[in-house]
Amino acid sequence: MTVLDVTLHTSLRTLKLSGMLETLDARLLQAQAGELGHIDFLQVLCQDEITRRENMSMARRLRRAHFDEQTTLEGFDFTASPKLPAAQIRDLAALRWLQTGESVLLHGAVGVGKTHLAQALGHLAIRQGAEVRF
Amino acid sequence: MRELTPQQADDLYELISERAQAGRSLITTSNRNPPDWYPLFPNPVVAESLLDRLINTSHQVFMNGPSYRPNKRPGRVAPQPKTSTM
Repeated sequence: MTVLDVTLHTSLRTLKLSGMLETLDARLLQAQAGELGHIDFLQVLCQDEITRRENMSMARRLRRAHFDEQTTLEGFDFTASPKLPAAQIRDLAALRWLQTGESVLLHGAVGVGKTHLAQALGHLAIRQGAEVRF
Repeated sequence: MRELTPQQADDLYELISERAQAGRSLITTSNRNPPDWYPLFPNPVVAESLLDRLINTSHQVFMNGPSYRPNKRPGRVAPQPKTSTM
């Protein structure tokens, strides 16, 4: 590693750009191979940093939500009962109610999946960037 | 869901009105229909104020059907396609 490389690594660490730091060597190889121009190189590095931050933020919000278990709508068995309002549930999954501050009241017999669905909607909201507490 | 004590009703009232004022959503689960929640509150005024707010700004999903829990009973193996080994 050249002196310049060491300085760059230190600078990235000081600026807390560890996403850039992680992919720097791979991106440099791409640039040297002529795959990336100067602007492209900078842009992909920035994108790597943004991706890392989004992943970290989502992991942090998932931890803070304190879900009992991580359930997702993908893991919800709509075929368990033909009486489940599948269309309404899929419509709620679009989360339009979240933007307008409306609420969702799930009611029904025990064991049909109310809590599962509640956590699954919470999981979707987190994926959209919301703060959730279970 | 059992009848609420005055303290529980007050806490619930505080939670729901704070969320409403902040314009934040809530997801709730219950074994009872929302209109059947009224008699659970010791003070009908608190019930009216709270439930009116909650019920009129929400999407109600009635979930019906057999319990899914037996499928998750420990020791139960997932249904597998029958194979003939004879």
